[in-house]
Amino acid sequence: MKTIATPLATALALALLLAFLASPAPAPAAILQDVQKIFEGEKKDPYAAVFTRFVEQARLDELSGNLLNAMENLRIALTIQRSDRATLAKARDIKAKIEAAADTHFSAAKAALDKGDAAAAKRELLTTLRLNPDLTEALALLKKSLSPDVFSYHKVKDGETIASLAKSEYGNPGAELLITRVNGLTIADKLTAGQTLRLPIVQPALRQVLERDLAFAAPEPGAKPKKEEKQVEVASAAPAPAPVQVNIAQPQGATPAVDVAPLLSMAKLQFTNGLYETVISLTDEVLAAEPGNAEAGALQQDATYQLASNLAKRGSNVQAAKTFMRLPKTYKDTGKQLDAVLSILHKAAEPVYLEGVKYFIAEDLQKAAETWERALQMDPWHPKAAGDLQKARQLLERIRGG
Amino acid sequence: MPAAPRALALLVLFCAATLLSACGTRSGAVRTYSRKSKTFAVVETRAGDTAESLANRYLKDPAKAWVVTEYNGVTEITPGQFLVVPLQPVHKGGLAEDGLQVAPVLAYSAFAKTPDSGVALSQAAFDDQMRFLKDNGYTPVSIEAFYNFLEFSEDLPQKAVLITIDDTGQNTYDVAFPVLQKYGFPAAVFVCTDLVTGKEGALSWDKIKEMAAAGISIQHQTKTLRNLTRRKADETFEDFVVAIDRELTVATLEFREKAGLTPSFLAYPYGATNELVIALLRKNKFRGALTLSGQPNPFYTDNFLVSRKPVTAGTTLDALGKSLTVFQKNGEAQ
Repeated sequence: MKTIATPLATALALALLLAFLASPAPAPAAILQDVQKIFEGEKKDPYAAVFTRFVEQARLDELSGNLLNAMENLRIALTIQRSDRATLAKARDIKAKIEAAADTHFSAAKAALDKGDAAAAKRELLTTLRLNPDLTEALALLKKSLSPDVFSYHKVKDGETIASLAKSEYGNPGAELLITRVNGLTIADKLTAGQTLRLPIVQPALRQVLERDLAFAAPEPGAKPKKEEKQVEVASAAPAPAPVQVNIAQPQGATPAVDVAPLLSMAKLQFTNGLYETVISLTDEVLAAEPGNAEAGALQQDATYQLASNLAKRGSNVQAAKTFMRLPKTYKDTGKQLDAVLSILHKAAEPVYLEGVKYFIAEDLQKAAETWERALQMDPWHPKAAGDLQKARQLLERIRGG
Repeated sequence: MPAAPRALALLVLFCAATLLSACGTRSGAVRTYSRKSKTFAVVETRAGDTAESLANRYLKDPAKAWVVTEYNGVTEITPGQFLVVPLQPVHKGGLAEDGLQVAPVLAYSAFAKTPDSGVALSQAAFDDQMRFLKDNGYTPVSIEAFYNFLEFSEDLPQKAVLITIDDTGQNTYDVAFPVLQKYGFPAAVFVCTDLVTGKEGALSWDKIKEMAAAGISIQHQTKTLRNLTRRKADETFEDFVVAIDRELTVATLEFREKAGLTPSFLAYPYGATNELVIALLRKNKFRGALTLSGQPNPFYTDNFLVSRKPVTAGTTLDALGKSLTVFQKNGEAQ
């Protein structure tokens, strides 16, 4: 390279060299190794020589139709000589061409989605993003069409309550809590018309996992169809994509073949550490894989008993009662401990229940319902509170329904 | 070649040289060592420059040394090289004309000091696997970098891999941690907070803090290691939702109180998840979560369905290599 001292001669030599390299368009790294040689050989003004090389490569890239590589090389050239007018104009021209091509692919993607051709849509969206990574709309559409929706968005209408939504959207009053949890509300909160709520989408397969509540399995007659697919008005402006089947409830993430031995030995270790909840979790996995595993069954019973006794000692009586109820009454002194815990709960909740009765007699149904809800939180097994609460709610709805 | 641009270029050079004459000379002409635009920097390397120091200077992150070496197709930096440093991602999402990048995630779950009969991986075997990654040009990346790739905001190295460990046992500290440090590899350790007892065989908060300070990312694996998709026979729907929510929130509080950490990624116990779990994770402001379903991940993978490949004592180096797919050609099944 020492004899080729002028940029003009360098360019000529390069043009010959590039005839080899032009097709297929070399990756930037390949050009850069070539540029390295120019840089080392050209003593007088290597930056100018290198600039020329990048501009020339961009021209060849454009000729071979590789606009992205052309753009990249023009950008590097402009980093070296940022005010070169011809190069600036060329870069603007190529950028516009790339963006136009991206838009064409984006339109094709939207058309494919409209036709329900998810595979073609994905292909077009990937090409769109390769050409123009800044097209955030295309990215959003790609992610949306490939990912399962976990929420739908519901605009509250006049008169709707958390309880009525639980029933109409899920066919299950128990879903009240689900709605409050994901929206940062409490059961006592009142909804206002126009407010937007996030409602978790429960796919049919997941529903089967959850549907052991009778109320969940059999919604009351007259309830609207259950929310199963993303049909509720979606708050985002993006066009609704064709539904893509991603059934994550069907355990795509769940354990393949479970190796129970390490789980069981870990459960034993954690039992000695007093981590009874973890022992129960681990033995659950073992028992799911091997329902008859006697060792896991015995360990789980003992852990459940220890956990319940600890909860009772700490005064977490509702949790203690629930945990004791998982055991046969004859297991150790489970029956005795359970009766003691339940009696504490009944005693604490009874005055609250009676307060609710007073409101009911005074025909303040709203207050009565709220008070009975409180009594039920204190004692979920209260003999009357649940039945009375349901009556009060039904009356309230009848009144509101006109 | 037209004279005007050349004259202009010389003028630019002259101005720059006047301003930066302290920068150095070569063959008598005064020159700058680097030029920068919004998208690229061109650099003439000096003695003492390394890929890390250049990445630190231009990309504000020495962990991005791979950007410098991969873009320029070099493995070593020597003085007097002409290098181009892309200042912005050049292949977002790892998209290429003939396909796209996929990023494998390895899930380690148990370690042992010496080989035993179970699934636990011995220190020697773990060392072999890490050396395999290094010798074969794989670049382990942080979980943040991995999620930046999924979220289309940053590139990953072509042969990126994420190393994760779901083990609150002491061997994560005694066995895995020294090996990761030896190779300088980042990794994410998923901790189940109830298991942090400091007792025989378990991690302590002090050891967790020590690993965090050394650059290991400490993340979330619930309070009690409960399978978040499994509802107990006697559990009402309400109790189930409350219990799952508590598995997330109570542990998060503990991370904050005991170690001043705020994990934002969860490894699903046993890899199991469903829409309800994901809804609760989003509600609790998690950024993502990882299963054990074994596939490498293209950038459009859902943040909450990142797939990991379990690695155990039974995984040979050959099998490990096969699970490390980093590129998916167009038309290939996912």
